[in-house]
Amino acid sequence: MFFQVKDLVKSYGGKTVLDRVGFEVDRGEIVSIIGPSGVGKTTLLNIIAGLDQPDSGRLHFSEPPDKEHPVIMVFQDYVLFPNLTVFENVAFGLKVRKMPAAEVRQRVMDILSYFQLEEKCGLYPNQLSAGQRQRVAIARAMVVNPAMLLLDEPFANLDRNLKMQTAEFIRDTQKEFGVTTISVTHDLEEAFVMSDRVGLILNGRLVQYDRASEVYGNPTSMEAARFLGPMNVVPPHMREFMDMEAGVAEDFKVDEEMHVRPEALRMVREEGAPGLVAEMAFAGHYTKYRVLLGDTAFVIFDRRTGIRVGDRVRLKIVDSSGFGED
Amino acid sequence: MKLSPLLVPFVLLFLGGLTLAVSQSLGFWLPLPYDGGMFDAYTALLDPHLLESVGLSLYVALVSALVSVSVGAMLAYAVWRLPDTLERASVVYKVPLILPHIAVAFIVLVFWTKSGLFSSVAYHLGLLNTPAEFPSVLYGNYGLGMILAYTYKEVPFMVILGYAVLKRVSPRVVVAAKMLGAGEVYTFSHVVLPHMYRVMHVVFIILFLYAFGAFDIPFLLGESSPGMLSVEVFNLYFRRDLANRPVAMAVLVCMFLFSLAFIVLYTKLASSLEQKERKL
Amino acid sequence: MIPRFIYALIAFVSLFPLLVLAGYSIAPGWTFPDIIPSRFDARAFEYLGSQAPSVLRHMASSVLYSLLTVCLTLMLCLSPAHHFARCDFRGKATLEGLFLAPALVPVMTFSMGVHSLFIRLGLADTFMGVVLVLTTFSYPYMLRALVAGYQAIGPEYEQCARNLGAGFLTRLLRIELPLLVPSIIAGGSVVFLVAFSEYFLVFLIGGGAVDSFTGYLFPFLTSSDRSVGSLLTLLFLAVPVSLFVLVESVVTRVYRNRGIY
Repeated sequence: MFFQVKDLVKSYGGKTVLDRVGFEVDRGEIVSIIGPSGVGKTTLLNIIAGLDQPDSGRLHFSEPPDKEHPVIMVFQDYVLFPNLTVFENVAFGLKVRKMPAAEVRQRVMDILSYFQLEEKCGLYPNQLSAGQRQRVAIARAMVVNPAMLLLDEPFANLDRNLKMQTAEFIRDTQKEFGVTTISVTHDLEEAFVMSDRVGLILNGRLVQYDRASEVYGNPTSMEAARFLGPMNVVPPHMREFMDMEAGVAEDFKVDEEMHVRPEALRMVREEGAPGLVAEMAFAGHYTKYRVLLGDTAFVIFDRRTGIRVGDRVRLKIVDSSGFGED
Repeated sequence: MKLSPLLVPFVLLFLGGLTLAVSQSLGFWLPLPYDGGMFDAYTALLDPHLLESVGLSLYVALVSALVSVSVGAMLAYAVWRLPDTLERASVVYKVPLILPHIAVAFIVLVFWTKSGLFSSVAYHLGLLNTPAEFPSVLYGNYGLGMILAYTYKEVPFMVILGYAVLKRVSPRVVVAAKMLGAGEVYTFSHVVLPHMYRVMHVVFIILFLYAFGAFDIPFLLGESSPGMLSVEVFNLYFRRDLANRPVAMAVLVCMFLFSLAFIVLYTKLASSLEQKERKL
Repeated sequence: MIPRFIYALIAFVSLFPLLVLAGYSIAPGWTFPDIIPSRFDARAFEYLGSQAPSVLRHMASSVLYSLLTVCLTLMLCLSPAHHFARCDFRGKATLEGLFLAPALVPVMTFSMGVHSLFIRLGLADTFMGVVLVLTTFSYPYMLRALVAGYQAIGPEYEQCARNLGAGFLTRLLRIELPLLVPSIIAGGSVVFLVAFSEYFLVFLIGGGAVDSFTGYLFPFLTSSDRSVGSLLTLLFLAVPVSLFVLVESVVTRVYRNRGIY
């Protein structure tokens, strides 16, 4: 354990934004805290960065950060100083540490070349693209050799197609430099891609903190499950109308509801089958179907199957990931 | 603690100056021994000549502030509607703002005296034969000269602030209003003007109180009887004998108290009007 | 068509008086009933040429005390403006309103008191006294501009600089002041204009011992010969205009790429 947050409580004007939040981060790990907008994720980051004080609870470092190894935050919107060039921005943290000019130049140019920004070193932030600005912001943070890196909504201002690319870039950079990193974001897919562990905050409480696949596949509550995507509920009496892949049935207890992600369901067209395809919507790399089984509606994500609205289908559960069953 | 630098000008000079004005009006700390009673200076204020001055000051301030704010708001709208190139070139409207008050007063003199430029124009139009026939704009006891000077000087002030507000309003609101069938006047008064209400209130307070208490323009353009309050005070303070100093200070203290009361009452009135508008 | 007409009207009303003043300065004998001056001579120019040292001395003094007033208001208002923009506390609106009061209420009330005060302190008829009294009633414009400036910048830049390890002075000089430049120019322009064109306060506190351009100009404005007054007024206009043009061109050159001005 490298860093620990314990029983953190923070409220603003009677509204509790952080309610006994606690988690641990190992050395060299990258962790993402996810949750809907405006639930105190940024407050958590501000507290860790020392920009805000908690009402109660504490932070613990196995080796406390100091001036040579500080905790550095990369702000949402990057907050590059507009009056300074790329070079001066990156050099800022070194200059205030009274490092000799030659060494500053060496270290700044080294990191700029790693981030492929050497040619931009004389430009002002205003003249860069959003992606370049973010790389400058990360370079500015990395160059001071931080004990820990904090990323506030790193994907907020990026185009959709740039988000995933950036998530991979952050993951690779983080592994290369080995800097312990905590990010907060509401971009789920990107958080899953870049993080070793993911924490989910709902209503100020950290409801789950685990590997990404676990958080997605086995949410601890219906609320958590719904935040991460649609979840189908199969009541016990409906079970007889569903087919199941071999081995899936054993994962469910006999008389309990089953919870199934839309992508864990498949449709098989069959004349006179119990399911009726009520809607379909093309959504890019999948198609979203709504299937009525009696009075229960199911959401299913599937490839193009040739199935159309009005077709009768059987439903088959191909994967048991739901929540709370194991 | 972080506010402390302002204590020098605010507490020491502003409040200090006020305190001295109040105490001199009551007969203390005068350069000469004073044998009157504490409130003698204030009873002297009821002099009918001074009361006429009060009336003139209020009237000049009110008319010039009203005209400046309304003309300025319309011009701000006009400048805002100008095409981009003309909009940028329209900075020339700031010229009167850069001119000092005494220079604006001078310009009014040049144009409006009986032998001034407008009089010459009237002569060539055959409206008059000698300068004496030109109406007494400047010294006709209606304070017209001062009102002209204040208005010329302050309209650009309203334009700048009103225009700054409109800059943040999308020009598409006008297009939308016109598409919905609103006429030019209706668009201005119901769609654009409400954005400027707040700044118009602020500008009105500033201009009214400035014209009410300022000295420079009345000193050049003022009429002598009754004179503007500021000129009366100046005469009491410097021109007549020192025994009048408490009266001068008493007038100043009353002007100050009136200004404070005016700000408080006006802001209360404006905010209650605003709330009523929001309810509608 | 209509926009051009409106523009022409605005330009005419703003500039025509200056044209008339220019006419007077080249035609001192321009009188009723001429609409266009009939005889031109360089009397006003010759007179001012002979008085050049005196004109320049008064102008330099005015520029100097106006610039000093700008500097002083800036120094006094920086920290309070930061406080008003960043912190919420009880009675903030009232206190802010109170601090803005010197620009609203009649200047004469406090300045007459200050005059008596300065006589006692030996500041009357001194250059410093003039700067102080001009500061007292012009600082609200600077305060307002800086508060708005700080609010527009937001607290993130300071937090970020602090997080990167910058101390108070580095934050102020490297980050805050450069970002505040547009607001400082806005507030400073108003303060400069107010100080530079003030007649009464300088006359009252300076008492003739402190040279001022407005004080020099005044007797010419009341004289029956309008030529010198006209020429001096145009000269007066040239000072702030050229100063603004200078500041504007320097700042846009320095800040063009930075996108903050």
